[in-house]
Amino acid sequence: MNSPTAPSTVMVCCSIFRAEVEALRRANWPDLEIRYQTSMLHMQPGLLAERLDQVVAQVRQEGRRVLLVYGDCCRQLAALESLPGVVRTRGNNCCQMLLGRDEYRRLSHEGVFFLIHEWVHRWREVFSVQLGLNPDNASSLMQDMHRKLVYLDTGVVPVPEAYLRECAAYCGLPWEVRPVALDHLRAAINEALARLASEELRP
Amino acid sequence: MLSHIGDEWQGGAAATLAQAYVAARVAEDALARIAAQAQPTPSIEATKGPVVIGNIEDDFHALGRKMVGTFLRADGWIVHDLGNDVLPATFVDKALEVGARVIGVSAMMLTTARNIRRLREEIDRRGLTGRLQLAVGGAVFRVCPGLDREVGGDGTAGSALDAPALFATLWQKAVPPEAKP
Repeated sequence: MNSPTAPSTVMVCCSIFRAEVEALRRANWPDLEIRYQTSMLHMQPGLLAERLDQVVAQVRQEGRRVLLVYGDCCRQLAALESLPGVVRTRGNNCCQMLLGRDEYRRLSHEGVFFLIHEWVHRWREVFSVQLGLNPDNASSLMQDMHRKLVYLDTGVVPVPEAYLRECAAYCGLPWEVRPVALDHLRAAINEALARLASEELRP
Repeated sequence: MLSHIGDEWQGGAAATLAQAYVAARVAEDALARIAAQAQPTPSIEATKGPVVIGNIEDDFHALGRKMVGTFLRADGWIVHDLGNDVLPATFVDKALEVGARVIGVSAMMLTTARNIRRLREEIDRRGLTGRLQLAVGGAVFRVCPGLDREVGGDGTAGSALDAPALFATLWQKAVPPEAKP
């Protein structure tokens, strides 16, 4: 993707995609440097903005380009992607980036609450510690907003069935596993890389 | 309280997203109980017209919209809530069907907020400019000054608590159909 004279690209990626991006990297972008940022920063958008500001500034100081693999996760992302040599993947959030817009919309209208493996492993921390919910009010809250839990199984890590059962019981919602190919994520990253390349060609 | 928590969350200070969410949910429940106990009188009801609310296309963050609906109903408005991911034509069709002068549209993120432009265009394209007022709101409008005008909104409110006053202002500002030349 890089021309011999162009600065190289660094992918700054949410850790929610670590397993999937590593699986894709081997076949698609073996030489791309990737700097993962913990997905838990999403719990506080101000801290996420601060971290992304720092990382992007550091990469640009190195004279390199930045590919942000993020949804529209905090307001700072719009400012960052307006900088020369910085692009962001298209997609509103990580689940939409995995499913594609149409399928994400269809499932969302069914009242689905999406789960991804990294998040599932932290469900207790999020619900109990961050949210401060007990099983009764977690159940009330989740049933008010959603109809079922759907785990997006990208096939790169084993399905954490024990965690899913515990999380579903805590929320009082049914759950199911939905296989998801990595095509949409790969396409989103390739499309963003193509925009970076075309930006480089502009006078 | 909600405004304070929202500011803290966006600033990355004390409140987490989850805490803000829970606080808003608790406030919504409390308000719904108050609203249920204090039914508007027929005379008050008659002074508040029908309005349409919903989340813009691609937006599925329902909580803020639900809170606005709760506050509007408590204030005597007849609220037609279209839910999440609503297309521009659906908003306008419903507003015309029920005789609403105000559409309230919600978006959580910048990407989805920009979809509101298409609703603005739909209103204008049908010759309803001025007659149908567009209230815009959601977390992103609190942290992006000027975004309400950028997407074509006629007004915005700092929190769900302020929504009834905004809708009242826009309702008065709307040109009624009979006043059109």
